[in-house]
Amino acid sequence: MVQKRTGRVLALALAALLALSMFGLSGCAADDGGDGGEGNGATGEVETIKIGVQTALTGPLPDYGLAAKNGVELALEDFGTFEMNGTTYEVELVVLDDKAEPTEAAVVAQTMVDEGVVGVIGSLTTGATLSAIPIYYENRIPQISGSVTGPKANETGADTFFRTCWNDAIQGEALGVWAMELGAKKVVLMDDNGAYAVGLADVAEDTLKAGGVETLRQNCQSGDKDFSAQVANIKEFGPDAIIFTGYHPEAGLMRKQMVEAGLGDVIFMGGDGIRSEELVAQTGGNANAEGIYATFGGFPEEQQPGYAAFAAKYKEKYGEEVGPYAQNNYDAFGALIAAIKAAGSTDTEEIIAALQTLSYEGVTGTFGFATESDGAVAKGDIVVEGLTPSNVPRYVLKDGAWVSAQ
Amino acid sequence: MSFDHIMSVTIGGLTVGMIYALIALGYTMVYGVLKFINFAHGEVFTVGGYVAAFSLLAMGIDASTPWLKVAGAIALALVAAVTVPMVLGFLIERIAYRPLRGRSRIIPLLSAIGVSIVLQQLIIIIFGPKPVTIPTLALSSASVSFLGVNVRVLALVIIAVSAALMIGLTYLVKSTRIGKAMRATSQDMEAAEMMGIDTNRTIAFTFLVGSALAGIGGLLVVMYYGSLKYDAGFLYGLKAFTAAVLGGIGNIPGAVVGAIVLGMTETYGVSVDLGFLAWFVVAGLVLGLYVQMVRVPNRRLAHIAADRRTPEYERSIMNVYRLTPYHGIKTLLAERTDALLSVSAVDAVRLMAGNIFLAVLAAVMFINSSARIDTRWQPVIAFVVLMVILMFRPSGILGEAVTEKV
Repeated sequence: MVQKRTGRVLALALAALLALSMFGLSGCAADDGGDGGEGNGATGEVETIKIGVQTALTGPLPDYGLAAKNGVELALEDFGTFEMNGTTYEVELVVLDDKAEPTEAAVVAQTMVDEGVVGVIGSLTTGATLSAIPIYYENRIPQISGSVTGPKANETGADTFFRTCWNDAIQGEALGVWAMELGAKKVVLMDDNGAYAVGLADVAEDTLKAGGVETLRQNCQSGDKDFSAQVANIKEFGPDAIIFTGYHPEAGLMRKQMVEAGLGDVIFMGGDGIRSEELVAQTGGNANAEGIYATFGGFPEEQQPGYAAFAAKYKEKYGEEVGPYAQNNYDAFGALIAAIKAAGSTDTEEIIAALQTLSYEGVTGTFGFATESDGAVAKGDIVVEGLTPSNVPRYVLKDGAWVSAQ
Repeated sequence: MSFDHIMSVTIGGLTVGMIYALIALGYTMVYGVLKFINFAHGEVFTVGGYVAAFSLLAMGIDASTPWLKVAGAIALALVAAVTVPMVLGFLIERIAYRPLRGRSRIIPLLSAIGVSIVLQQLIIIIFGPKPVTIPTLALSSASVSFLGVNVRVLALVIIAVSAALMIGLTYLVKSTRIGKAMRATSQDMEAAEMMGIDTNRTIAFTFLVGSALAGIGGLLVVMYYGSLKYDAGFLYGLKAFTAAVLGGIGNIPGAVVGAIVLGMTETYGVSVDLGFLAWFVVAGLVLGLYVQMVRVPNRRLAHIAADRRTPEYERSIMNVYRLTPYHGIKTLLAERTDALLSVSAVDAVRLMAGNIFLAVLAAVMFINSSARIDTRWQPVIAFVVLMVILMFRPSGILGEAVTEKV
């Protein structure tokens, strides 16, 4: 009745299933918004210039890609026609899809070069950007991404790369600094194995170690429910604080299980991934959630000077709420046009130079770009007026709501 | 590594394992009778958890509710969490499996995967994609001191309930009328029908019992962790199925043993020192040496005709296995024509390689005895242990139920 083969067949089926389950999903956090605009004029001749939009409309993140494209198209309406040296310039967008794949991104970048664009907005993801940067660098084309938050995006330090969203490293450093300010001598760093969380935890760990703090690294998988192994490890280590860099569903369960294991006194901190009011219910209620700390990458939307106006415009045009990083892409386009005007030329070398000294009033704040890498801030990173790594927004949970802890 | 630490890790692992066990029992019962893996079982578990959570929420239970009322509410939630999955399990069997009975085995399997997708979507449509959370109850956070370690009462409840259900189920299958009908149906459906057993009714009953167990599991998980997400059934289902196969699918105590091994491996693997884990490898090595030196040679000898079993011959066979490589190879060359030759030589080499590997592994672990495996490896360790066990015992730890089909 029982065939010997059943066992082997089952083992195979099992192996296949487990392998499938390992293709876990990981995400990336979203933030920010902005505005800013100038008039347009009209005299004499009209010249058309091309600006590339390298995004990912297909592939794993089509919602992010579409939001980026929407943001740029909205900016095109506002800044797409401008006057310079008596000539009216009209911008024509070249929108290309790199599917968020590094190989595809290189092809797209080369196509952009061949199209003769004066600048590129994009690309969408860190991986794709890494392979596009060398091509734009060699061809001296300025590139501004509104959504690449990975600390490693510009590890080569190319002077053609800029970004209008926050580098995750800044939040990581801020978390480390904050923990030390709170007097922590032993700190646990825990991530969910996703690129965003690992990047944040790596930087925070480096910051803490540099400050002489003893650290312990722990991990979980997105979707995990039971953290008894990690909690036992943490209890044995006896930390003053834990920095959880993943997202709120796991953070809530982790906090709950730590409280139940008698670790309620350990300071619980995280990045913008946990800064959701959903967290309160997931920790089991106010009693457990009270006093959890979180940072945020850049100004949160409600504090971005131009966000309300941008959101209204966006909703009017697309009939939906602002998509992830749409305002950062809007600002990227706006900043590029501002740099062209400041340079007084469409020569890309001069635009690059203008971008480096630019101060632009955008939706997400008044910002410029870092000219040199310094600590967590990499070359080309957005530098927002009134925001420094030691000054990123800090929040604390009080009675179930996030309030400023600046 | 303190005693407290080992105790809390052990209890954590045991609790996780027992939760897997509750779900694994449902898989194993259905497999035992139908030789069919009900992949929708994980979703039935999720439904049970959601029903339990929403019943508790509907009754307005929170931390300040008097305990008698809480107990009443939990009893009512239990009734709901058992009834709804039972109805669901019955309907699934009636609608999606029964019409396909007697077809090739892959067809009901696909149907089961389809049902699981449908159920997951239905949960999202009915309850929404956000995780459901219940307030922390005094009961679910209560703990007692056990051998100097704080243990959650609910963890003990989960362990006790799973153990009791395992014993109850074994009794049901082995010693009751309906159990006899289940075993008969499993052995030969046609013959059972000819004996007057209503096999359709028996199978429906099996689904009812399995689904009720999943519902109880759902209630306990919601109370233990305080929240549940619509897709929790996938991972839990996968792990429970793994546990059922690991213990020997179709075998009721096997499901529990497999679940405990899986839960303990997941927890122990990353939260105790290598020096401690090494003792498990040593135990494996002792077992391996026993198999190599005693069991396999004896089995081999039993297959050889009595007239050829001279003392010298027996010694030569023993030598092959006892790993005096020189002796072994010499004997093999000399006895080339013998049945012993190819197969047993491969066996001998494989066993030797396996045991040497275990010995080296144990040595490495003892040398690095205070190190600990990074939590990043948590899913990998469980998978490796699973594959190793199934490689040497394809039918699982306790074996598939063979003569006395469940």
